[in-house]
Amino acid sequence: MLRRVRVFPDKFVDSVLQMAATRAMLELDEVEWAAAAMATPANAGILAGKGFGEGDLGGASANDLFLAVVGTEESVDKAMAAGEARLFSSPGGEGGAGEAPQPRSLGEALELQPGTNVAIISVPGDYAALEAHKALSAGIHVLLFSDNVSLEAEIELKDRAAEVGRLVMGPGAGTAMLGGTGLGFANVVKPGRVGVVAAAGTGAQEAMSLLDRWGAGVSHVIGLGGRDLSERVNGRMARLAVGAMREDPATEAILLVSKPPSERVAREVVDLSGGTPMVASLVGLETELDLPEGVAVVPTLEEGVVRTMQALGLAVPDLAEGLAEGVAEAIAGLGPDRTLLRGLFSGGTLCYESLVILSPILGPVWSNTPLDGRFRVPAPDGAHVCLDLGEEEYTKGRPHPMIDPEARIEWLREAGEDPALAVVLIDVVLGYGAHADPAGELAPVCAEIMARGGPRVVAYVLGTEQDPQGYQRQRATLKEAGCTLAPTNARATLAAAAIALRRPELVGEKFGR
Amino acid sequence: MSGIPLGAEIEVANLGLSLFSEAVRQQGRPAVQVDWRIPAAGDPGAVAALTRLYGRHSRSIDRANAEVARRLDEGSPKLVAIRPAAEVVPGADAKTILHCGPPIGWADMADPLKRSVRAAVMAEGWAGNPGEAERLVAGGGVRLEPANHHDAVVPMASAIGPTAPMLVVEDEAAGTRAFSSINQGPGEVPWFGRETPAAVERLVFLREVCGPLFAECLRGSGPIDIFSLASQGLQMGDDLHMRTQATTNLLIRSLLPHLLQLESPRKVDLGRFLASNHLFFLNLAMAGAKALTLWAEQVPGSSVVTTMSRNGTTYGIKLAGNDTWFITGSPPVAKAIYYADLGPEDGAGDIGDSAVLELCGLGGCATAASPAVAAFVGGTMDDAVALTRDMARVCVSASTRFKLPALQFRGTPVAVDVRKVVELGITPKVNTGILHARDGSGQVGAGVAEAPIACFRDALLELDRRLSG
Repeated sequence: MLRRVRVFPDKFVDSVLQMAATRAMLELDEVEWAAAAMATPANAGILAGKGFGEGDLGGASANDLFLAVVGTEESVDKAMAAGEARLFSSPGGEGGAGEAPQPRSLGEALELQPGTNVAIISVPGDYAALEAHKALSAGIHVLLFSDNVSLEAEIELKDRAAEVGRLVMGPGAGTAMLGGTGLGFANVVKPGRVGVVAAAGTGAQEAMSLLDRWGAGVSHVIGLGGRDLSERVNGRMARLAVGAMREDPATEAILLVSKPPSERVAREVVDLSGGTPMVASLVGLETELDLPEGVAVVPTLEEGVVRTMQALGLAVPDLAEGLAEGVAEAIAGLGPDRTLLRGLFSGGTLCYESLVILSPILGPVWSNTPLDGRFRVPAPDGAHVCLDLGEEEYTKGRPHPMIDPEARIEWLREAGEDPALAVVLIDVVLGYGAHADPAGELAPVCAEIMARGGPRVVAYVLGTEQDPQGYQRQRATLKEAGCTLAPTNARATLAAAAIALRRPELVGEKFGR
Repeated sequence: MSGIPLGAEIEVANLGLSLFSEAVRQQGRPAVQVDWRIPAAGDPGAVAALTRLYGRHSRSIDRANAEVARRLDEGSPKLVAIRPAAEVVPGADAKTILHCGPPIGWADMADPLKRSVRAAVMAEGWAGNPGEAERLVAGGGVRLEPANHHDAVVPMASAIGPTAPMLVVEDEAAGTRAFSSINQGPGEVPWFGRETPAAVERLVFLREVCGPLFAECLRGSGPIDIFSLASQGLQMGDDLHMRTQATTNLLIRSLLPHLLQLESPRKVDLGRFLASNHLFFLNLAMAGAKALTLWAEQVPGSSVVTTMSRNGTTYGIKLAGNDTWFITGSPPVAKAIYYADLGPEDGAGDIGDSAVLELCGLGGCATAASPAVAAFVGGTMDDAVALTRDMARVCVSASTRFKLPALQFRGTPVAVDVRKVVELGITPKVNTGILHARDGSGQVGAGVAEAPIACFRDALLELDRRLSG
């Protein structure tokens, strides 16, 4: 085996591109191991572990990119070429000769594009607060996708945001929509009357997609970051966001979306609605809050959108229509030993909503993000399981399942082999940032599993007709593959439970009355 | 009222995953992708300080920096007189030798600077030969003072005795007065680290002939607006540091009628000296720049560098509003061209106060103006433009008087911001000469020196402590 390293000094590429180049190299025959990465001390350690010599990186450091390959003599050169091609031929890579150099800092970007009013920041967490502060100093909103930003840094950022009258959406916020433009992982929605304030990424996407598909439309989506409604962060950004929505002429109702918040904080935030109709989908909140006039709190995303529609006097479609029949069909082909449910999610909030819905129906559901810490995976035999495959433990060194379905396909195949599974529940998230054709990648695997007499697949497509992937097109692909399709994540969850329990009537269940 | 507007159409700057900027562009809105790098090479202490200095302190710093940059850009110093050092330089007495760079004791001085000090001692008549001069200085018989502590700047390895003629530069509106020596010219000269009889003789010539006659011409011509000449010279290919040929010619042209009117028979010697010294204007530009930084450094709470200076042993900077030196070892000149048979091992550490020019939009900042300097930075004008662009990345603003034809008459970068230097790891580039490290043979080459990052990092951390408490 040959080992080869090539260093590109002073060249930084983002993690998605690093992984894509790594994959391009690994796909070649006779390549045993390959990596495209920044020459950080940690990565230098990995190289040493793979048998590379100390001098192979030639003094490269954190801002130098390297390609490394282990393989046969014929394969290493090919792999290097493939890795390089992937790194440097993509859009957003090197500009052509004679072009002005790409800005190297936020300040230079602002000189180049003086009208800039939003910074999207997804750099490593150690440096994210610095960039976000620079953006606030320049008076522009921040969508802070980066994780691993300390609580103290988050609080300081949000206090400054309040001082300068700008938004800090995050850390860990992947979805927003301002001025009609989707930011981060966002669906393309029609302009409308509902402002969404979300401390939960796919929760925001589910809310904006349903509001679009059911005809209410969306004015703005403000992301908060998952910790905003905690005791410590104290709803700092939620308070600003609700205030901004209240004052916004396009917004007639506010939908707040969060995983279980601090009850005190949630109560104080909904108090700020100031007469604007407001619904809070506090997914998994068990206790009742004492609420002001015009405010409703519900435990699911679906119910939150339903109640918002009602507050605006808009009709809600029949969510169970035809679903019981689909479930009955699915049940018909199942052997009696198949009784278990497995959810394989790309969206964290969707997984969480499913856990909240399933627990009262199925009993304990095991998960990597369980409602009750006792039910953390690994699960015992005979257990229902829902996994959030977008969590860190499943995305180390590989792309998020929303961006690249490959990892989920492996999980699907494994589920297909399990003789105790009645049903596999999947979410298919569309929109900007998501894979160009997720249904096209997942559908053949689903068809194959069901054709072999394996578990049934229930799928929910989160998206809109205007999304680049096309809502109906994606649904049709899955439908053709034999999947059972539902109109919301909550209904898909109920349909899956109905198949596991052989109780089709479950699909009509109501929440939070 | 939240005061947060939501309706505006979006324009995005994207730092990180490029898929986010692509998504915005697909929606028909503009998005600029930042070619982002890890700031401060990932140094956690510097990153934490930068977070505060670009964050909660940014407003006060930006305001102070804008004022500092304005002063550096708008100050209008004029050459008003030429007088012996001890008569005009504040705090320089009859036993003071002014030297380049941060403070340094005799024992630690670099070889070229020691030779220059001995030459000055001999020119003052305090010693008859280098050995006597050595014993006098080592025994504490003279007072060695950094020129910078006395509102003065001197180039390369200059050492200036009390009788040496000094350029007196005033900025009337700013109320500042700065000084530099008269440029010693080419050949066997102390500012290149030489102490031969010819070198000593050059100092005597400056004192006896050049200084008084130049002063007489100046009385005839009236005050000379230094940066008015410099801005013209820049259009003619000068960077005003490594190359001052065009501006020197402009100066000689203004002095010419007054030169011809001199009655002294030695006016021909002066004419010969001026005709052979294409760096004559360098010291005028430096004194002018010092007059600007003396005004700028009165602004408190700024992150702009207002002193940058080397003595061949150490490299020191100061920030506006703070009299503390931040000092580190003086590195060798990185990008250099050496005379035949000489190389990096022969070069002394970076030396001289002339880096004051780079703080005011000249020298490294003006490389894109100078085809002659391009040869030292890679050979093409693209290389020269790249160097000026690098400086722009770490500066606050652009000059309104020094315009770059090669960059669509954009102004040269002015006011080096220590935050940007540390964040981007780009230190000021100083166009400079290189002296022999050991043998006193003078200049061995020229090139572009890169300032060492350590003193900028120290200054940044101290500024953070000062503001954050």
